[in-house]
Amino acid sequence: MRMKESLPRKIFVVSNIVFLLLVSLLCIAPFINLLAISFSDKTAVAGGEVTFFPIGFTTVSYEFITNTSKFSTSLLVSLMRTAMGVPINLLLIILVAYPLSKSKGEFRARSIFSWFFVVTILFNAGLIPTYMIVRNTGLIDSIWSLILPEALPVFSMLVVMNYMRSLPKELLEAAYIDGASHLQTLIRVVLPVSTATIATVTLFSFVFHWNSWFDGMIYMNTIQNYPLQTYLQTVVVNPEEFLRNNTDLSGNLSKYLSMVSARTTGAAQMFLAMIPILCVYPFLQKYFTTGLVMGSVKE
Amino acid sequence: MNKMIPKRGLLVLLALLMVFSIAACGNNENASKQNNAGNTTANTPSNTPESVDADGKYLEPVNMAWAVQTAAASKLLESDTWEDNRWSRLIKEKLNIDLTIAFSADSSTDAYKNKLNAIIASGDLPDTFKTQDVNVFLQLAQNGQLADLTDVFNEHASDSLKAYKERFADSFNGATIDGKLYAIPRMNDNFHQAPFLWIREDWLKNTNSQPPQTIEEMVALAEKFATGDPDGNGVDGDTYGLALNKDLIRQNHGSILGLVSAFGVPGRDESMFYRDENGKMTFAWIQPNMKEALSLMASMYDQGLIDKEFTSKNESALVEDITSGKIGMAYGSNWGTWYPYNNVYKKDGVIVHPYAIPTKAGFDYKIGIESNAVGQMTMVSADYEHPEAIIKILNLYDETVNNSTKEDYDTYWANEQYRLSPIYIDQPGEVYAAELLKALDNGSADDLPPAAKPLFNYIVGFNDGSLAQDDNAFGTWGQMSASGSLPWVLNKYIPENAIVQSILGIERPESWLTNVSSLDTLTITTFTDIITGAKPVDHFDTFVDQWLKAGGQETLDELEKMYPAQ
Amino acid sequence: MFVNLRRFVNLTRFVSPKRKDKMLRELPLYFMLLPAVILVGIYSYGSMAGIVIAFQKFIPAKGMFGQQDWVGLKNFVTLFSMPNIWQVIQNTVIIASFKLIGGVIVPVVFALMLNEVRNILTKRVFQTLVYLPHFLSWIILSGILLNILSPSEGLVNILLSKIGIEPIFFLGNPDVFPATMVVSDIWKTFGFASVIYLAALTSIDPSLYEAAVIDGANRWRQTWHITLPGISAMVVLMTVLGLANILNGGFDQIYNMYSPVVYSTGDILDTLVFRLGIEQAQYSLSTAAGLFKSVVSMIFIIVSYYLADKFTGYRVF
Repeated sequence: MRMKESLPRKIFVVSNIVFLLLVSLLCIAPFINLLAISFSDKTAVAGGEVTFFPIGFTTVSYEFITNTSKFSTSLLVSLMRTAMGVPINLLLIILVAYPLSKSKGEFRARSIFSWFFVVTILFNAGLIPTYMIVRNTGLIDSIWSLILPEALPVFSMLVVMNYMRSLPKELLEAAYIDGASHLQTLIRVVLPVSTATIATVTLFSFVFHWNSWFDGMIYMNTIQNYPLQTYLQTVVVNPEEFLRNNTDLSGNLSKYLSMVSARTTGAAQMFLAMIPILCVYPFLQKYFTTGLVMGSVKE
Repeated sequence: MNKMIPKRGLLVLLALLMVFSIAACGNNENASKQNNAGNTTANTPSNTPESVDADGKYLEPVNMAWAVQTAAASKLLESDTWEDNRWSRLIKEKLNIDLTIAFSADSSTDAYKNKLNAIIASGDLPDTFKTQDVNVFLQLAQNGQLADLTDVFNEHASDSLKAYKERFADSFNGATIDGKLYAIPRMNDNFHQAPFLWIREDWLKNTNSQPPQTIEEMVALAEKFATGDPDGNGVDGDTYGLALNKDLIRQNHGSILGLVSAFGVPGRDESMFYRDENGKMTFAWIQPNMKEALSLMASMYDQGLIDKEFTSKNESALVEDITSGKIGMAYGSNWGTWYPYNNVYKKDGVIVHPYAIPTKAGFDYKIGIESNAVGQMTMVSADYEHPEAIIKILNLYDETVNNSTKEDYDTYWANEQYRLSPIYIDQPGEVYAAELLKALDNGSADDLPPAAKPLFNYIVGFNDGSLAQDDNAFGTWGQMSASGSLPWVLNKYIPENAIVQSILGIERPESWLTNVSSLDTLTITTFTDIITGAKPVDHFDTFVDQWLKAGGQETLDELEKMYPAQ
Repeated sequence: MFVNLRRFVNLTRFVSPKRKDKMLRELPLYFMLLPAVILVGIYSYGSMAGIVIAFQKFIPAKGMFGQQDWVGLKNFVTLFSMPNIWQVIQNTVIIASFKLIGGVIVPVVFALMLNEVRNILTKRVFQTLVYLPHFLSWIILSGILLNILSPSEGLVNILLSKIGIEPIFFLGNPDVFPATMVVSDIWKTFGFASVIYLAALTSIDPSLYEAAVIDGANRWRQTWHITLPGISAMVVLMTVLGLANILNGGFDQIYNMYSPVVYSTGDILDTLVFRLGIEQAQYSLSTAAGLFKSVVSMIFIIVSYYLADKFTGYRVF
């Protein structure tokens, strides 16, 4: 039954849209600027002339990045780690979120496990101990070093767990009464109504694997094993960091910067990183629908 | 219907996982093999080091695993890879050494530093590796993990190499601990770190000015630039007087380094320790004369001759103002024509010239430069059976690059190819400045070392116009031609005894290591406050007290002992 | 598969039938947890042992398991005797707290507003667009901000002057700097965070809304009585988890935009520790700082966990 739309409601709807539009424009403005920069001549960029349109249109920054020797290899590494890492993340997230979403009555040890995982968000010993463990489990230079150490993203797991807890009890009890085991309940009842939250954490997992560069840097000994972002870090110069690490080579940096602009290649690098995600996101948005439509419970 | 799909979906997922796992396991094996290849050196039965032929080439192949420093600047040409390239092939051919890569990491970011530390902590030291981190070098040496290269160098280094050791004695001393040489250092003479005053030629012309010789003239010029219309766009006052960046004391463009020099303060960075005229150990930033320098800058800021927003701009942020033509004068380092003033040349065809720093009557100007004892070190692991191999490679490098044909030079040095060798003679082109000037005078490059010849050609090419649009030519010309920056050092700063060198070498006092960051913060914050007028000039005296109390005095005392007066 | 487990578990002979049932019922749950527990145990807990570095004078050359000098609490003493350390901690807590509050409120409000949009395509377009700033690195973003926030020529100040406000030195004025950091950070992350709340909105039973409409409730009342309570669990979770960051002011952001002029309000724990570590092997100090942060976060989380439990009866995790 549809209520007639009152005037205040109409005003609200319109101003809502206008407001959201403004916010969206604010969010996209820097990107248009950066897109223009990535296609511009570096001197024009250095002079601050580029606003929303490229000046001196050139694809040299993109060429510079993609033509360098290991671009396609690192792209493959990233694709592989994402293709393996995301399903593994999801599998573990679901397998952990489900038991932990049970109440204390149904699963007495849940709090212990809960805290077991939460503590890992809080305490981190830093670079060297993490490196040591990965090394001692033989994962240095292996693609598994990019997958196993963070195989369970605890934050995502907590989101899914929380969501599962909010599901109506009747839904799960109905399954239990029908003689379903936990696994069957999970697969046939819980998952189908959790598509939105699973799509959410899939997105997070995808973004993490696609964008992460630090693990590749520290666990991979040779460039051919670098994932994409780690590799791009080596190609794009950040002058401040370069100077910090090469105090007696600042002249070298200058010679280098005179030839390639850090700003244009930095912008190009960022777009290369964003594009796959922007392709995946709309695909996942399909799942942001109300999940409770199916599996309704008969009183 | 819906109930079936998720289950099937899961099964497909599992299947995919299995397929990928098998594929990945394959990769893993290959990777481990690669790793093992690099690590077997420790376990191979040792070749007796003397089994070489007449040319010093090993009779049996020798393995060397090295740490590769990739940098955004490094280039691989043709189908070269880091594992198989012109240098690795040359070294194999001439010396029968097989190079393998222990690991590679980016040295232009923190990556290499962190990776190296992790590898060191796990005990997987490569056979040879480099670092700029003085602490790493010291700690490894003190822990007995580095090979002693003293004898090996004396026995195997060529005469040419030994000549380098003489010429750059300071650098080699920096790599020597308790009389033992633990690394091959960067062979450098830091005279080229001196600051200059860079001024746009068109602004000088438009304001009918001469390059300033004294501080007073510099201030007058800054006023013309800030209040007048030096860029000729019809608007008064939309341009800067003197440009400053927020870091103030670092060696970059827009620093205060040249300015304070005029007041007898050899300022440089946070580590300028030296002995004053009375032989007492002191620090640049606590000199009483600094007060006058600060007073000058404060008044310039107050009058609007220094951009009010300098406090939030680092050097990179100034580049936009420089390129868009807002900045016409700034203190900076010798490489201005490489960057950032190359942008001005490219965009407007205008040259920004380096001038000697203006002086002040009643003060002896002083230029602060870094000790020659610090820089990148190439080290050899104490566990490596063939430490002499690294010297052999260095000999080969010297021979091929510095004493051979132009072709060899082009193949093995030009285009950053020298980075492919595990060890190279680490020298900035600036060390050839003196030789170049002489050759330019004579009009001939014949007597120049091969490394300097291309520089000669660049300068000549720029002067006669044939290379007028070439970035390398413009850059080199602005550094080392007669109108460049470095001649000022050779012809003025050095003969006038203005250069003061920091004594801070490899050994640093504990109190310094603990306190340097807070002392540095204190210095920059105080100077910024005084310049912007947030604090009065007299606050400088309080600053000196604070500096001494917060570990500065301790540091000076320890340095007295560490680096006794000669 | 697991339904047949009864045949294989003989231990149950010794347990009373009711407890036996319960244990068997719980057994599959343990199996589900197993792989994650193993992996997390090895990688997260295994490396946690390295926290001892905080109590040593750690020298990498001596090796991870080598003979490091034990210095007890000395690293912490060094850390806390740094000049301005308490000012720095205060700055960190202030900035982090505002980021936390804004970082929950803004995405929630945005999610609610987006939820009111009927057209699915429009909704998705907005959702994607606001997600974009997340991808900007602070290095790039700081350059952009420096530009538009400039007191003399920046876009923002030009707009402000049109409505008669004096130019504000956003990045150079210590009074304004923290606010600039908070606002820019919220702008960068709200799109990403709103995804969580948008997903949570889908868990609300639509029949509740139908019932409300029948009862004559307008959209505001529906929001107040149905939507907000419906996502409250997620809001509480995000807030509590956000407390894990109570001492993370946002290193990347602040490092790229701060300057000595704003140290008094903008210098945070991580930037201080970072500067400390440049000249010396920094591991002991940064691990000590990290441990301090972890302990404080832990305390905050435990306290808020029990508070949430006490006042709402809801155990956050």
